[in-house]
Amino acid sequence: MAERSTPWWFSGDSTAGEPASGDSSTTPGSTNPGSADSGMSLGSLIAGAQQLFDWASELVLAPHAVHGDPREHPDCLICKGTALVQGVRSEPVSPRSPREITWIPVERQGF
Amino acid sequence: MRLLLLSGTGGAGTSTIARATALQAVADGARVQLIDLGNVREASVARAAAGQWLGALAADILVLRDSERVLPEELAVGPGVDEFLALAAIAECASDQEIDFVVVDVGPLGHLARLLMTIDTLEVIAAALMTPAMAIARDDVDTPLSELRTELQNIRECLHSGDTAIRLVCLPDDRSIRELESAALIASLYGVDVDLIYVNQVPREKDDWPKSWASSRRRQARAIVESSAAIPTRILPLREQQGDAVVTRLRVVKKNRPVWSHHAESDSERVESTATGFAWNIPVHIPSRGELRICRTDDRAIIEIDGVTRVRELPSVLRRCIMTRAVATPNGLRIELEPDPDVWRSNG
Repeated sequence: MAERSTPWWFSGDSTAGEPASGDSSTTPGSTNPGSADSGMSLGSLIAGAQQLFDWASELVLAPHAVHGDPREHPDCLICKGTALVQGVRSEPVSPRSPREITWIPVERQGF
Repeated sequence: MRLLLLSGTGGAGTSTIARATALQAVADGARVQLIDLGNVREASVARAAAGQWLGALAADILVLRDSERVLPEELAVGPGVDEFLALAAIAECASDQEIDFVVVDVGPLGHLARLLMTIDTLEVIAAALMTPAMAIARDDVDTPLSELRTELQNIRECLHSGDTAIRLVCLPDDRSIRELESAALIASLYGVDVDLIYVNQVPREKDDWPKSWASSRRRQARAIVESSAAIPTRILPLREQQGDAVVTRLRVVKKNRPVWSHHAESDSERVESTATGFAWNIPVHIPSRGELRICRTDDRAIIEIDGVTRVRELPSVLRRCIMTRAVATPNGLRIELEPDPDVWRSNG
């Protein structure tokens, strides 16, 4: 019996979380993304994205909603990013070393 | 000559002489453009036309530093905007092949000074803003800055052409000598020839003027002529009756040859090699008195003569050199430079 080469998380069926037993005739080279045979469907991708968004909302966006000054919340991903962007914007466009002025002696002749 | 800039002490008759010069040139068959920089209406029209572009550019630059957006209309009154617009108009007329001769009534001597200094000021600001980071981050700002520098270069070429000259107008009074010296120094330091000084409203001996007053005026006129040895002078008579202009036409289209000129073969700006390095010869008519200071910062030399300052970009060959000393003569500056040992590898 051939080993299924498709990653287990491509599957959207009820056995997600365990390697799924599938059609033994499916070969790695013939995997067709999006087909039911491959275990990877558009619906499953959308569902995954939705889960990811829900997770981000719950763990990141919701706590950040009450954050004021980004510098006071270094553990918050969004605050950290905001502080980083503000730091870049406040830097000079072209930081340069202090400029020097060198005076030279001037001699008058022929006056 | 293609471009003539007229400027004078207040009330000396600059506008009258500009008009008389233009009229005579027309009578001689030339296609003439007379530009009056003192005309407020024309200046406001020019601001409305070009101030939008310049103001928008400045507003964009200010926004880069997290400042509030400034409206172009608010910046149109800023120092240098009117001068830049006037210079752009002059350069456009001077490059017009349909025009033979451009006469510009600049107005008071202070306006002339600001006009000549504006180009350098804007070039320094534009160069400081045009960093590689700016080019990458803000193409929308970098492009207009490039256009601004191109326009400034066109204006500079126009003013420094051998076909351009400044004529100064003064009254025969005791303040004129000092003011003329200052104006001539600024013109010289900024690379434009003053080819004639008009001493206007000098009473004639045959006219019926109070004798002591007329004698005093004529004496002061002679003093101006003597003090302006390097620049040709022309005395114009005082009109006898109000409204009866003595000077109606002036045939002065041909450029006078001053004793000293930026465009003389012997006095042109050049870099020459010496036993120790290089010498940068800058033609400028230096007065016998007054403080003279020169310094270097980055790739620029700052030259200060009797309170008049000019910032000059070093010629590229001199940028890896150290300025060691300068010699000032009545006809120019000679700045001596040696290769920078930190940059140039020694042959030894």
